[in-house]
Amino acid sequence: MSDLQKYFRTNRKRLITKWDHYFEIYDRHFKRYRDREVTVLEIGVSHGGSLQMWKHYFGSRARIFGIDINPAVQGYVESQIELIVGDQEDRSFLRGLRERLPEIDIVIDDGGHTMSQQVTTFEEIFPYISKDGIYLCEDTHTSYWGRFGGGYKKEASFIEYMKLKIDELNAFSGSKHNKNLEVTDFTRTAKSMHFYDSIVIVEKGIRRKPTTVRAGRRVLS
Amino acid sequence: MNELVRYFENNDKNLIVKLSHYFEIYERHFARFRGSDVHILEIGVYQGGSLQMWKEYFGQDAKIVGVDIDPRMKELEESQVEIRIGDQADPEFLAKIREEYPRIDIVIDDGGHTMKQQRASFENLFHHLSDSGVYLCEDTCTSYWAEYDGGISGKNTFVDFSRDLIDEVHAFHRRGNNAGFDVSEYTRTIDSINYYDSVIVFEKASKRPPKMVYTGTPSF
Repeated sequence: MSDLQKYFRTNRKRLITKWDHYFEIYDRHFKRYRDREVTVLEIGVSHGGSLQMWKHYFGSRARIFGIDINPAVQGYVESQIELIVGDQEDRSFLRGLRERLPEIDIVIDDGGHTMSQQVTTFEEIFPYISKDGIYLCEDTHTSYWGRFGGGYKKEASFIEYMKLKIDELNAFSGSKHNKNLEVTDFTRTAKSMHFYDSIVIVEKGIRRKPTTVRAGRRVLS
Repeated sequence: MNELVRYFENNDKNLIVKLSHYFEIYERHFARFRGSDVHILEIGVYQGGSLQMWKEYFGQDAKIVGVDIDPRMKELEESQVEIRIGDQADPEFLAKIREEYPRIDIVIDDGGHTMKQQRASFENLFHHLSDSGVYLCEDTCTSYWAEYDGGISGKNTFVDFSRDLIDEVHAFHRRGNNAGFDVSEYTRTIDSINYYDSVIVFEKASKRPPKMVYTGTPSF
């Protein structure tokens, strides 16, 4: 059992609600930041329990920021935890965060889960997280639910939006023999994309055009 | 430094040709199998160099099978390494492989890289992988290259095929009437689909419908 699961199971602080398979995914991708000076931004505060969980998990040098549209969350401030009230669909609010926050290493979008909220937040925040940071969007099953603006194979869904990013991820190699594929900022800054049931993760990294390497001796002509 | 990179840089055995960023991806998805009696199937033997690399990396209990269409590859067999000759796009040949090797934990498809080959190998081997196995397909950049029957999206490339599986991974959350969107064997067995430049990694696990869980005290 991961430390996150242990924390969750014995939690008597603020309410945490999650899908049970998320903890293992968080641990797999986030553990390299534990006990470091990490800045975590979670969108969607709800009862504030997961902010407390991140504080415990990442340790005493972590700074945790929560964003929510509900002004009541300002009451959840405690050491290492700061709250900001705003709308994740409001581009000018999101752009303003660059001035207000230190560089962010980890973003967790657990906000309103509509297509427009998820896409807008990704577009505005992803370029500004640190160069080896992590963007995690959760509850992406709403991409298949009509009342969140989703639908199976619906072009405007967050999942379909992310599926197209796979082409950009491959653009260094793919464009070698395909003029329709263009290297973008995403190509240059995204290292990997990970799709789980209801979670999409993009890991950043500074990338260059891949190079072919050879070592050893030829034994068959 | 990554152990595979160290091995590669000092390699004076059979030739290995890779894209330099692959080593980190291998390490990330394969490290948990090191030192175990892991069973590996690699499609595409080339000069046999990567089979030797896997043997060194996974250790003396690993069993490595190379598959290639070129019969000359048979002579590259050595301790822990078996070579089988056949066509990775031929379901009958792959059925024979399944029969001969009832357990496979890792598949690495570094074969011919055409759309037909990558898809046929995946469809005939993925369900055969052990419960927490890993299927890695490399050089998926060919999904964008006409010479390999690739193109930009929508041409039924291997990347396109994998994108459809992302939907299946979410199918436990299907609501109402969504023709064609159903819980499948892929829904029940794919834990994650991981994309890198030119590599796709599928991690397996036994999946059940997810549950919402909560603990703690409501704040309001």
